[in-house]
Amino acid sequence: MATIKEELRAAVKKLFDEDRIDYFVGYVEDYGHTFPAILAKGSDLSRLTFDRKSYNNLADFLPELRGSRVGLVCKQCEVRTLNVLAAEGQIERDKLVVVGVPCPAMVDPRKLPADEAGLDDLDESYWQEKCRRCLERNTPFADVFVGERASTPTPAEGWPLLQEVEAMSAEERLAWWREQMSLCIRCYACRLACPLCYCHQCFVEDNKPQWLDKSVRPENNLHYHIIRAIHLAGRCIECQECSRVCPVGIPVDVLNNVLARDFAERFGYLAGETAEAKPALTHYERDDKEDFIL
Amino acid sequence: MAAEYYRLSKDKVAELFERARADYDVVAKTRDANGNLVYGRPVSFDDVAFVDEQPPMSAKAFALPQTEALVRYERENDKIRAEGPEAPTRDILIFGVNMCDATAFDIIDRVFRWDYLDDPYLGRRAQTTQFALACASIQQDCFCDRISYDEDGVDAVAYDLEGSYLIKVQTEKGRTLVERYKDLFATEDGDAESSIKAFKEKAGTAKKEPMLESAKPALEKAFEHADWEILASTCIGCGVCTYVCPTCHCFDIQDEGGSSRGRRLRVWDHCTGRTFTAMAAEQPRDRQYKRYRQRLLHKFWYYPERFGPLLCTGCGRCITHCPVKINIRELVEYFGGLKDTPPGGARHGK
Amino acid sequence: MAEEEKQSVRETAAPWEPNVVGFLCNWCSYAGADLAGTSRIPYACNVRVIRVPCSSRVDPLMILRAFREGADGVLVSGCHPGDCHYIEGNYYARRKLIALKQLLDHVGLDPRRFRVSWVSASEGRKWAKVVETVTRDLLEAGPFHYEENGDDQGRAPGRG
Repeated sequence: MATIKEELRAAVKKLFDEDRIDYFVGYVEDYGHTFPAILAKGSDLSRLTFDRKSYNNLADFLPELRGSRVGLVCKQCEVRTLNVLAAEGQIERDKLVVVGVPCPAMVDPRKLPADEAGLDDLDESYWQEKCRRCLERNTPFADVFVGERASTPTPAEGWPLLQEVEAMSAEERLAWWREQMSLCIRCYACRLACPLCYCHQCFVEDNKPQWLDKSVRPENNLHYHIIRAIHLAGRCIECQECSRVCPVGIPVDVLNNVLARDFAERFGYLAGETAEAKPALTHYERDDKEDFIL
Repeated sequence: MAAEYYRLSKDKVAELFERARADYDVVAKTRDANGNLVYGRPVSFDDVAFVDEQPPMSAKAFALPQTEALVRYERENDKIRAEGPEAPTRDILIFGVNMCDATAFDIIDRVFRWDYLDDPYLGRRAQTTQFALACASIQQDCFCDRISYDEDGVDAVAYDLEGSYLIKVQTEKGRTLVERYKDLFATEDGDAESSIKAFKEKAGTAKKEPMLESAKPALEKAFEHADWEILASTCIGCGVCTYVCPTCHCFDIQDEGGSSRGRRLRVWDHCTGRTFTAMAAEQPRDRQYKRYRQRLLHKFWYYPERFGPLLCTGCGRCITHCPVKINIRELVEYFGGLKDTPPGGARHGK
Repeated sequence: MAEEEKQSVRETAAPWEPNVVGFLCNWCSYAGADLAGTSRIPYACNVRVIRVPCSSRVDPLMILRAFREGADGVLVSGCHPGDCHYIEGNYYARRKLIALKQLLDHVGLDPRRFRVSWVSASEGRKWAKVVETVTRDLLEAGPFHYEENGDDQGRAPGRG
């Protein structure tokens, strides 16, 4: 039986041979890492892979390739992202060939064992937190599906770190965030790794008016992270890429999780569940629950 | 000065650390609130992390802080008070710094010493002593073995030779350190350089051909190479690689505050970012791959052209922490003609 | 000026007075505040008013920037739901402000520092009451130190 890698390589070769795509966005393995690559016709497809280190949210590369016909590996994170992007009119579905995969759940990079031979067998305790909460492991709207369909998962409830932080008092939370923010170096990897932060001009770069001071200080960093989370309110699909790419290990996705949970509870809205639902901040109900307004 | 060699017994290290704290602001590898490695100020010797692994952030911030006030001003009625840059109140000793971070200071020095003398930087630099600890192993993404730059300019280096450290002292600052705690150090009688060579062979940090310096002639011809676009197109344009880099030193000048009080700041900036050097008009490098190419070529072509060594110590941080794992070593090898296959297998397809 | 007109709701001036930035919608709350004034209703003078076309014009960036520039509290006030001059602006504003409120509460900001109110053009009395409430709460909460440490060098270990 062909492995998922072989099936994937054959499927991509077919897409190029039949001239259905200009570029293929997938994961490749080289120098000990699995990482995203944009492949054009004539590229070496023998490095294509899909394994438990296929972390990146590949929808992040779509704006760069706008106008081209693109093949894209879509695990569940990309599926939900594409739904949000479609609702916001950001993708041209007819130019997109979705390659579906059964997602084996990603291994938390901080918990990667030194010997990666047994990677496929690692249990839930090694997974990225988002994977424990995953609702569906197979790509629902795949144009091409490679690999064997995975079984439906039993999603875990809640985010452990969020619960931990929320158990603190307000003063403790303030101190905890201040500590985290003192680590931030404002490299903006969290913003740029996010497939939904696609604005051409971002408030952090505006200088007239200058919303955000450039000095790297905890209060400015918090200012940035709060606005980043606000701009993703009702849009974040919680792929945790922002936290994964943080070079200094700040769990910035906690802020997004706060809003995602609140929007689910308050407005019954789950970002990226469908491409049809109206984005939460461009929509309202007359009786939206307000509990703090004077 | 000519190199001097000493021995430091392992059971004396804690004492050295404690006594040095009386004379220096001692910085060492320790753990932050999240348990991640960081160059910080350990509460006690037990908090010092003796590991080969590098903290995500290099040690360059001790000479070139990410945010540094060049001028502070305050106005009271008709009086304006301005204060220049603040120098550290105490000399800094970076205890057990990685070699790839220690060598970087000398590389950045060349920029800040060349032409205009950058006083805030050079002042901090003069107050910083590096006491490096050579790695006993090489990490997955490291490539210091492929860069000829070595211990040059590092104040003092410790090599872990079973049971005791061999200390190589190369500068006056290094000698001052040893002189201060003379009773802890023994003189080295053996053939120190042979021991160091053997240590590096064992650690895997000995130099291996082809060195990356040899890529320069081909790189000079590769500016228009058709594969730049596809190979660097996954670059998302964040500042991780430059901020974690021990040798990247670009900065921006920003004013904060208003008419009554404020400050002029120097803050790190990154050439991979969309707004880098976009001052009066647009950013001169309009596509992301051009910005990535700029970073690579600055390190392996433009800087060596002017200053000699590479603007890289091979620490590999920009690979480890890159969100999309772009590998600068592989790209230098590919565009520099040391390797035929592109990393990841992507080709331009035109 | 008559004695009762000068009279503040507070007996004596506090040693410290909170600075409150108020973003008021042009059509309801701004007119409401105007009415409070023309009706000569005495109330605290701590709110610095910024007139905006609609409460939905208020971007969370403005609110955070106000704190950054030294506000001890921020008050956003608009038309009652259903009364928006632009039919639905305040409904959108409500969702946006709820999101900001959630985050500010989460990061441990004192909930007394960020307030939202619905005040119509005829509610001069309500406006005065809102301002009194906000000011009194902030007097209790004390000054807001957005910048805890004025020194760039004293930051996290290892960042120089």
